[in-house]
Amino acid sequence: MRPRVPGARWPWLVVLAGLALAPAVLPAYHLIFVAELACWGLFAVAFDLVFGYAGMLSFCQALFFGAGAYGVAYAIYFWNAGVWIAIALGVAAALALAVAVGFVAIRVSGHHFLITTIIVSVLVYLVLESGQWRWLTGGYSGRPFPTPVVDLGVARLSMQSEVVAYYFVVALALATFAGCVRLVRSPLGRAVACIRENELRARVVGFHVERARLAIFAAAGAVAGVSGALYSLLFRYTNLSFFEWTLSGKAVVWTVVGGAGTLVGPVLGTALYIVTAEVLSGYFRSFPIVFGILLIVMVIAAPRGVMGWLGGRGIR
Amino acid sequence: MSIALRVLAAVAVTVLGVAPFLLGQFETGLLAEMMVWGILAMGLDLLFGYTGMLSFGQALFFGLGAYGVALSFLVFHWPFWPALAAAVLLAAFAAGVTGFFAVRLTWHYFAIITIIFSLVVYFFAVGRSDLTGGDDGVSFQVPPMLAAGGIELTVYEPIVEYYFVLLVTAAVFLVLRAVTRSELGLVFRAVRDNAEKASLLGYDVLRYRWISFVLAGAFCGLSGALFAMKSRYASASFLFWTVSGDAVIWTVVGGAGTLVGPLLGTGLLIGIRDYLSNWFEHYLLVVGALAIVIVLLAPQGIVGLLRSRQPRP
Repeated sequence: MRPRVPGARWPWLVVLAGLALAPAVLPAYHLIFVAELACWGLFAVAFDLVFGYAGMLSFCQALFFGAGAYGVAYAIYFWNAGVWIAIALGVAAALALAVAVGFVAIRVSGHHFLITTIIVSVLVYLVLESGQWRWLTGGYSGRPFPTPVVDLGVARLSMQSEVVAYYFVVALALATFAGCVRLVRSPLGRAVACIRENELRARVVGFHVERARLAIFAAAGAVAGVSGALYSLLFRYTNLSFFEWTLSGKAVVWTVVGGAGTLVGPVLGTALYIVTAEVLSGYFRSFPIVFGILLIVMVIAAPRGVMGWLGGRGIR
Repeated sequence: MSIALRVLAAVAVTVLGVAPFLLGQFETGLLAEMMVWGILAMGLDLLFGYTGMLSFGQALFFGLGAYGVALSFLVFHWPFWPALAAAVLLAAFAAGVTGFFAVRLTWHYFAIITIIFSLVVYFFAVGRSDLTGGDDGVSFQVPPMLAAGGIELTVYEPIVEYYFVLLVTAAVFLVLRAVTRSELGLVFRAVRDNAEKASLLGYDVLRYRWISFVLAGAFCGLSGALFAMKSRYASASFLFWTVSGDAVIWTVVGGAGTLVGPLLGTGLLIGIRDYLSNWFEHYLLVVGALAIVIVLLAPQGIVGLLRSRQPRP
């Protein structure tokens, strides 16, 4: 057990307190914005589990976000499921897809893993987009579904209220985030880090490399599924673009900017991107160019991202 | 090379040589198109297969090559050969600049930064649609290659176009063969297999990566220039990442780290695309499944598969 840095807990308490008190201060629009950030941040964290911790550059993380989002939409639209069952179904869909994709992809490493994930993600998108499969997704913008009601046992709260939606999404995102923290500190998290650093040595030591890779890939898929499920509950909206590789690419960008190999980094990177996008896109039409150049500078000058400046550990 | 492979190669070259007399106009054009894309794949392969850097941004140089000829004709009204040279130089120059940054990164980050570079230029091209025509593109007239004494050679003549493409492809193949067999090629492979050891032996790894990047950029630019001349237009979609992705898949399927592999993979997959798409809407599924199977079962591609059948010396 490495010694804890004194005072390392207080930023967490500040963030938690800030998030808890936000509805008292922020207008409804900003609350939803923060909740949206939480979804995207969690999505970037899911990517970083695979990339930063396990050292596998995956370009298909969006598939699991999409599966989570569509799972929720499906459960509510067709079976009128409650929120919890809907989330469970969304995450189960994402997990199943991740196990299926991972089963193939983790068999190859390095360049070939990247190539395989890109092919898979393009193929799945093509299938969903094509005419015969329209029934599955309900076209580009999916199917609208009624406002979900959060059943807490003692009370039933409608997500019509922005405050309920905010607390619900942020609390679940935080809980999942905490789960990710546990995961990367668990034996599995350490095993995949070991495999990332030296696969041959890990094998010799006795780790089952393929099994560990598949486990972290599936877990990351489930986390991405949670983020997709929360997003679709928040906006009661699904879109085929959730499956598109560009969304996976965004997760790459957010994570690299924030700091790969840390869990806070991807969230920071996401926040930085989305806030600058919100501010800059009012001025520049070609905002992606600005962020692209920023990313190039970051990758070369600060490969450990924002977290590198903040003294985070990260990879390397 | 075994005798069987030599015979096979001789047959392939002969067939390519007389193809316009055997095949119809459509097939001849398709064959030329395969060769043009094959140059792109060979350029990528120099970088990926021989130097170990997986680039997902070769579309950048392909697109710049295409716009190099388009703008040379449209804006500067240059003749054929200077325009072609300008296109290749433009791509090489862009590769020199982007490569300066990119080669400093190892593979994950190298792949990411090449995607970002190509996306940045793509968005720029879409934004400046007054110059580039955006995704719709700009079309142009191709001046004759040679006009002397009443003889005029133009790419509008399918047979001239075919032999022009064939000669250029053969030249690229021979140049790349010479490069990869030279000392330079050996260093590329040394850098690919163990960069640390190569640098301890005294080779400047970054420099050789950069040289490989610029050469690859120039060949991909040449491919783009030829493709633009063949289709008489250039569009921002040439810069899009799907072009880079196609090149990667063709190379991997054919066999990275060989020169025949990319040509073979390109020909095979374009053939599948053009014939299968007639009666199967989801032909891309076939292409994707084939690519995944090859990546899983034969990481050295088709050529690797053929080679492993040979008795080892």
